This record gives sequence, C-alpha cells and structure tokens, in this order.
Amino acid sequence: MMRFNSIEILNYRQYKKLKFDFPKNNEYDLHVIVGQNGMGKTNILNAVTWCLYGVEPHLGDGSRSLPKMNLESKKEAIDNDLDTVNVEVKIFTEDSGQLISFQRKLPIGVDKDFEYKEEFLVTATDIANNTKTYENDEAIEFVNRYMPEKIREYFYFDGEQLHNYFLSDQNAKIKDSVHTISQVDMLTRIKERMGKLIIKKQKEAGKLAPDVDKINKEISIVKSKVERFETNINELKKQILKSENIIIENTEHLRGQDNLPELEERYQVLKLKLENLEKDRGTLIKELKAFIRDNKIALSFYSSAKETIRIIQEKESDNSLPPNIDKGLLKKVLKEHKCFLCGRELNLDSEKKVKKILDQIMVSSQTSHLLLSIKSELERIVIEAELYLKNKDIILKRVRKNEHEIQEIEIELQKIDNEINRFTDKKQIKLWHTERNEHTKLFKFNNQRIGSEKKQAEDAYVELSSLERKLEESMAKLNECKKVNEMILFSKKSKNVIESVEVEMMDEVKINMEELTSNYFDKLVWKKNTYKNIKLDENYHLDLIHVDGYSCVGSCSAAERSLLALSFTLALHEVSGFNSLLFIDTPVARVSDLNRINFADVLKEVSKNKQIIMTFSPDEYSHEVKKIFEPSVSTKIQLVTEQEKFTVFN
Amino acid sequence: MNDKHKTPDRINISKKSKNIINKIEEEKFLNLDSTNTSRSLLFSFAMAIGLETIPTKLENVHSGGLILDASIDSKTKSLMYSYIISESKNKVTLDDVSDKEYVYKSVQELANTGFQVIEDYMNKNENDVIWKMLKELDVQYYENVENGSSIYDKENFESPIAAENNE
Repeated sequence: MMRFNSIEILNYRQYKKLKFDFPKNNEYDLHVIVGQNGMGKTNILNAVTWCLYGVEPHLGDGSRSLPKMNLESKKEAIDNDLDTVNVEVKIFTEDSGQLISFQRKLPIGVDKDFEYKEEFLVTATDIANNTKTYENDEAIEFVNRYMPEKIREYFYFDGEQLHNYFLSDQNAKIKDSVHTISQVDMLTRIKERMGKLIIKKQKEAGKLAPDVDKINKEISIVKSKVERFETNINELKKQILKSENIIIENTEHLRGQDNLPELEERYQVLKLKLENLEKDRGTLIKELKAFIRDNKIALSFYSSAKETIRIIQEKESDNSLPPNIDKGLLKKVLKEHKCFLCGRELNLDSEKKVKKILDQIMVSSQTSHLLLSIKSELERIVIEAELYLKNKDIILKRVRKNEHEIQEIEIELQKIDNEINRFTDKKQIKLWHTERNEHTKLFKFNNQRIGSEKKQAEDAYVELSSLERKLEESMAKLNECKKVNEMILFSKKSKNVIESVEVEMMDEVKINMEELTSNYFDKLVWKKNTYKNIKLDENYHLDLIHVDGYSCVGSCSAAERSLLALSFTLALHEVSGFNSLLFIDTPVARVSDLNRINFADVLKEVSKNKQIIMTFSPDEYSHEVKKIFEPSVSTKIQLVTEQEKFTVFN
Repeated sequence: MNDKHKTPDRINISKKSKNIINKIEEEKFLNLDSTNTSRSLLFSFAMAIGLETIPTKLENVHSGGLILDASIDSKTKSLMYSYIISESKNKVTLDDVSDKEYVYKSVQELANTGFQVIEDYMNKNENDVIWKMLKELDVQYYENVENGSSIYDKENFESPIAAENNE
C-alpha cells in the first residue's frame, strides 16, 4: 500500500517553506493537522492534487484570485532583484519498500505573475536501490498507475462534500470510477477501434461496389440518428435521476414542514374574509346607531304622538276640524253684519247660522290644516316605536353573528400564525417546495419524452439491422468484396465479444463494489440493526436499504452518508487494487456531536490498515474527537501564521 | 338676529349647543354628524333626549341658528307640534299651536337641555353609550308601548326591516 512519508511545500500559497512528516509511530497510521480557518489546511490538499495532477479543485473564492506563489516570497524576490519565484511541491512516498517521489515545479514571474512551463518529475527507487526517473507524460502515466486521476476524489477529498456523494447526480462519477478500476477502459478503447475499422472497411467495399456504397451511406445516416437518440436518452436519464434525487432530497427537507404554502394560502383567504367581515361590521354599527337615534326619537315621543293622534281623531269624528275656513273672516262678517261674498246685509237667521259655524270651528283652520298634515307622520312614528323590539332583535342578531364570525376567524388566524411561525426559514421552505414541484413536473415530462425517444431509437435500430443485412447480402454477391466482407464480419464478431466481456467485467466489479461497500458499512456503522444492505443499480445509483426494505439514502443523517462515502471509498481501494492513503480535509465538518465521536472511531479503526491524513479546525477537533485520536495519533501538527504573512508549524 | 316680536323663521340654539354640535361633527358621535344625520333629525334627537329632563332657557343665542324654517322636515315638525299639543293647557282650541313663537321657544328649550345631555354622553366611551341607550330604549318601550295600546294590529303587521332582512 502506498503511503506518504512527507510533503514539502515551497512558495506555494500560504506556505513559504514547510515540510510535513508523516512517520508511522504506532499501530495507527493516523495523522492530524489542526489549524484555524484561513491557515491553509485545504491548501495542503490542493498542494497534493496540484503536485500529482496539476489541478487545485478545492480553492476557495479568495484563493482563486491570488497567484499560486507565496506573496512573502514574491516580496523577497523583488527585494533581492530576482525575476522569478519557483513554486514547488514534493511528495515522498513509499510502497512495499519502493520509494517514490513526485515533484512539480512552476516558475512564476514576479513582475506580472506570469506562469512559466511546469515541470513534473517522478523518481522511483526500488528495494535494490535502482532509481528511475519519469518526466512529464511518462510521469503522468506513472501517477495514474497508483492513483488514477479519474478517481482522485476517492483518495483526496473534502469532508464538507462527503455527505453529498450519493445525492444529486454523483452516480455518473461512480460509474466512471467503476469503469476505471475495473480497467475496462482498455476494452472500451479496443471496441471503439474495432468500430472505426468496420466503418473504414465498409467504405472500402463501397468504393468497389457503388450499390454497397449507397447502402453504406444510408447506414451512416441511420447510425447518426441512432447516436442522436442514444445521446438524448442518456441525457434524459440523467435529468430524470436528477429530478428524482431533488424530489427525494426536498421531501426530506420538508418533512414536518410540508404544509407551509397551504397554511399561507389559508391565512390569506381568512384575512380577506376578515377584512370583508370588518367592513360589514362597520356598516352594521352604522345601522345600529341609526336604529338607536330613530328609536330614541320614536319611543320618547310615543306618548305625545299617540295623544296627538287621539286628539286629531276625536276632532275629526266630531267635525271640529273644519275645512280651510278663515275664522277671522267669519268674525268680521258678524261684526259688520255683512256677507263679503254676496255683499248683502245679514238678517237674523243668517247671523245665527254664521255664529253656529263659528262656534263649531273651535280650532282655527290653520291649526286644523297643521293637525291633519302631521297626523300621518305621527302614525309612522308610533308604528316605529311599537316595532322597536322586533327590529332590535333583527339588528342585534346580525351584529352578534358578525362578531362571532370575526372572533372565529381571528382564532383560526392566530392558530395558523403560530404554526407558520414554527417554520424558521420560510423563504428556504418555499424554495424547496417550488423546486420540488418544478422537478415533479419535469420528471413526468421527461419520462414521457424518454418513452418517445426509446421508441424512435428502436425503430432506427430495426432500420439499421435491415440495412446491415442488406449490405451483407450485397457484399456476399460481389466477389471483389468477398475478402473485405470477411474482415468486416470477423471484426463485428470480435466487437460483440469485446462488448460482452466489457459488460461482464463491469458487472463483476459492480457486484464486488456492492458487497464490499455493504461489508465496510456494516462493520463501521454505529446503528447495527437499522440497515439491511447497499445497492448499486444499473445506472450506478447507490442506495442504502433499510431493514424494512425501503430506500433511505435520502433520509439518513449526514454522518451516515459520510460513512457510506467512506465505505464506498474503502471498497473502491480494495477492488481497484489502487490501495493508497486517504487524505480528508475537515472530515467531521458536516457531522454533529455524537456522530462525530462515532465517525472518529471509524476513522481510527480504518487507520490500522491504511494511512489517513486529516485536517481539522480547532472547533472540529473538539474535546470528544481529541479524546479518541490523541492516544493513537502518529503525528499531530498545529498550524499558525508568522506575522499573518505565511503559515508555519506551532 | 331675530326680533322677538317677529314670527321666527328658524330654529335657534345657544352658543354652547353650537359648540357641542361642532364637537359632534369632529367626533362623529353616534353618527350624528352632518354627513350621516340631517340637522333636522339632530334637533329631533336633542328634543327626544330633552324630554327626559327639564327644558332650559336659551342664553347666548348662536347668531346663525340651527335650521331655517323651510329646512325643517315634516317629521321634526310633527314631533315639535305633538310636544306642544301634549303640553297644551287647552286641548280643545289648541291655541298654542298657532302661536309659532311659543312653539319654537318651547322646543328650543327642550332641545337645549338635550344637547347638554348629549355632551355628557360624549365624555363616555361610545360603545358603552350605545349599549346603555339600548337598555334605556328597552325601558322606554316597556313603560310606554308595552303597557299602552297599539294603533295597529300587531299580529298581522309586517315590519319593513324584517322584510328587508328576510327574517
């Protein structure tokens, strides 16, 4: 197994000149590096991947904008009139007695931070002390023999992302990893080469026989169609899987918080209802006030109104209410003994009659007119007073009903408000909901599309088979093409054999990976009776199966997912034969409390058979984690800054 | 300003009552402000409140008066005259009715006290006043109506408000 003996970093980012030694001092090949944020823990990981592969996949936003070279070194170079600074990382390893060093050097101009040509060197010294050096492409090939770049994430990884390995669309990476470790690449290359050879020979045959050429052209068109359909189908499969994962993930996030949108909608509906009821209440109160005003008048004046009506009715019945006769005029007639209508003198008889009329008209005609005019109004007032109780009941009933409805709605609004306030991050919850809904629609749509693409692909395959048969028949007829035809047939047969071997090898590796991952997970997991096994489906989608049979990779904790990732990694190391160290940056970043202790225990256990180098922030390297690691750790390094300019050991 | 020897051409109020009416406008007490209640109706309400008290003489008369003659509505006029008739010494000739000056003076004094009582109400919580007045109306109903005879057949009469509410 390959392990790191030391890493030397020169002028690289926070590091001016530092050498990390990793001797194995006891049964645990466990190494801990602790440093505050910004000290350069992740850049140790970047230094390793840069040295081995020329990439820095874990740069933070701040580092991305800075040059690779250490700024303090740059300043010194300028002060000493030097043009360039050499950025260097050397990794010294051993594997079964063989010492191997990897060295990458990059000169950078101090003037404009111009990067010159990189040098990459691998030096291997065997047990017999024979040394061989590999440069550039050869060196890259050497690295890929031990730690293939395609699966570097399974040797050097970021603990922050561990728990996400099996969510989202990571399955494509898993498939690639399995492809690499099963060394099926070679077979795939041969298969592709065969395919190209067949096309070349068919074209040759086409030149010899135009008929064949025509059929070849048709085959070429149909093959493009088939390729297009296959690409579409693969893309759709990826999208469907992505949607599926997002739906599972968001459902998990929303567990117990699923009904926020419905609650909010109900809240708005009730608020609107309340507003309308309050408007109604305003109207009702207005009506009530008018009722009080009018009935105060009616009831207060009831007795006098009734009395007046009685008097009027009396006077009407005894004819005391005359028509509109001027009493004054009659008095004048009597006084002057003269009728002012005909002009004649009044005789005794006429005088008596006038006196009688005058006596009868006790009430003046003006008064009489007034009395008659107010009578109907007074009758209305009296009726209003008499209907008071009935009308009061009606209006109060409406007022109470409105109050009751308002009260009920206010209670429900309060309840909903309390429920809504339970949700701590409403914006995020709404986003999850929206995203889930969108992907549910997309999932359905893509499933329909994929059906259609598959059907079209099938039809194209049938057409292709038919054309190929036609081609074989045409070629068989032509003697000129006989030899070429034989070669094509042989190539096709070989290609088929290679394809089936390829599939068989992939399947075998997949089954091995499944078993080993299950075994490791079972050995390492702290919940011993919860999980049944692990499955890798045909799309290399990794799933964790509960003892009750259901899939639970989406619902297990971040710690358990991290453990799953670790188990898969260990299985991959074993199956691939690339048995190298594990370098994990902040391994317990996403793991909480008790599970941190569990996870720390696991890592310690694994380090008995494999070198593990880990970086921690002081918060992560908590008292509980320290308690597990400190007694067993082979090396512990504390990083500090020198006057905030570069990182050194404490 | 009216000459007391001339026939009155408006309903008058005291300056104090005018201030009370201004306050009613501001506070929209019991919706008695001018946007909700005519001046005629306000005067009727003040008279109704005043009926439970002793009329008080108008002092410091507000120059503009409250309502011009032509603007007094028929309901208010009916109430004014029914009060005079019920208080009249001679219910045979009803001479008081034809004495406009006397009629106006009497109802003005009635309303004068009424406005002061309204002012007292305004110093309390309006909601409390509403429920207090409803209780008073209940008492008035039972005292005046329940124990009196009706001028209509209660059994067959349909309340217009009930009809409106489909009760």
